[in-house]
Amino acid sequence: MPKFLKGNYRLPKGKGRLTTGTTKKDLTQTLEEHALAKLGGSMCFVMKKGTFIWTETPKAAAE
Amino acid sequence: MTPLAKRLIARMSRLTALRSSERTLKNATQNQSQIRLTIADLAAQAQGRGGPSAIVIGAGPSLHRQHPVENILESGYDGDIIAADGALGYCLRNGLVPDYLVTLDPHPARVCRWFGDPELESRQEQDDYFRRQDLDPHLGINELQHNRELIELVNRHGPSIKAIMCTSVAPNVTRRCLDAGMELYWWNPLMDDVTRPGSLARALYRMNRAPCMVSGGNVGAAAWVVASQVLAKREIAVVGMDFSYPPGTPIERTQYFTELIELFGPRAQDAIIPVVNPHLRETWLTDPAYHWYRDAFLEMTAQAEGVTYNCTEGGILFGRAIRWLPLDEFLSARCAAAGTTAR
Repeated sequence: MPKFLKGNYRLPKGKGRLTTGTTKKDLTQTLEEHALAKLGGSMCFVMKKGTFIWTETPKAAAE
Repeated sequence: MTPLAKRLIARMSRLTALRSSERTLKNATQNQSQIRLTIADLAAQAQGRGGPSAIVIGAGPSLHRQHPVENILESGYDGDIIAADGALGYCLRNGLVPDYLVTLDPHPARVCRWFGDPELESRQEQDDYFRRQDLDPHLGINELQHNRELIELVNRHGPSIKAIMCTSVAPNVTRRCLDAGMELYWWNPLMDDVTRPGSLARALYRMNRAPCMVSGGNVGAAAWVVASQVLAKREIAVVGMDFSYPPGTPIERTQYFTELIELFGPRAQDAIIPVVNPHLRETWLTDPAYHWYRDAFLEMTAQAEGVTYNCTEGGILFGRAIRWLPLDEFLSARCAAAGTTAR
């Protein structure tokens, strides 16, 4: 039986490479950020060029 | 400042987005059916009314150390008063009915406490948030009795107060304000860059057509934005705007204590930041979120027209675009200009 299963297929190029290192890092970062989010403020703060209040102009809405 | 505190401040925008975005969208969807008037209507109504100045009342600990309401009432000041939700109980208990009230935080249970929470006694989960801190010490003792008294006070004065509601607030807060007879004016939080694809703020605007307004990250700062940008006040005094804890406050009595201990254990103290206030020559303590609020506030005042006076007489809000001034001096100058006399 092992002779039929061993080496009787080819992986497409680039597939099957070990990526656990980067995935694990991403996952760790995501989990860490979600845990740290408890320390966040009440609401996001975004300030652009003195714009305190924004409403959409009909022209921008159409774009 | 420790490297840990620096790292946390640098990530505060992202952490706040993670903390609040989902709840904001959910609450805004649920609030949509209540949106009739917006801050655009309020700006039109307020044009040329109430004089050029206003006082913004935040809910910082100096409110209970300096008692600014006493001075405001004694002075006969007749400009507009804009209170953050956390300062509402303090104002009403002391005989000051604010003209405007601002509320913002999307938390599902805590924010309603500022208005007197009719569901407090039936709520299952125990929350020591108010008992542990000095946000409003009155609410931390004899909680149920004081909650009942606050419900009654807010119901009595609600019809005289215009509530400036962020669409992010929990539906129980909306219901509470409506039940108290307040008139509601809505705004969306400008929570991201509206020019970018997938902007949440733009999506909110398209959903309910309420203008998007910069929040400053917290309700006190949002109250200042309302004074400056909606009511177009050019002389704004802020009180109770500490963004910090008084000298010597133990870490257990700071807002994020439970979370800091959970995340960092014995290193939790490293996240607390001492800031020397040169006007007071005192070292106040802050945490990364409040330090971020302070930076945001300074950025906003630098870009706004008019003058902001910090009359808190405590805290860490000082910088180039802020004038540090005792409240009495602000009041006497404004009252003399308006020809009003002390009571």
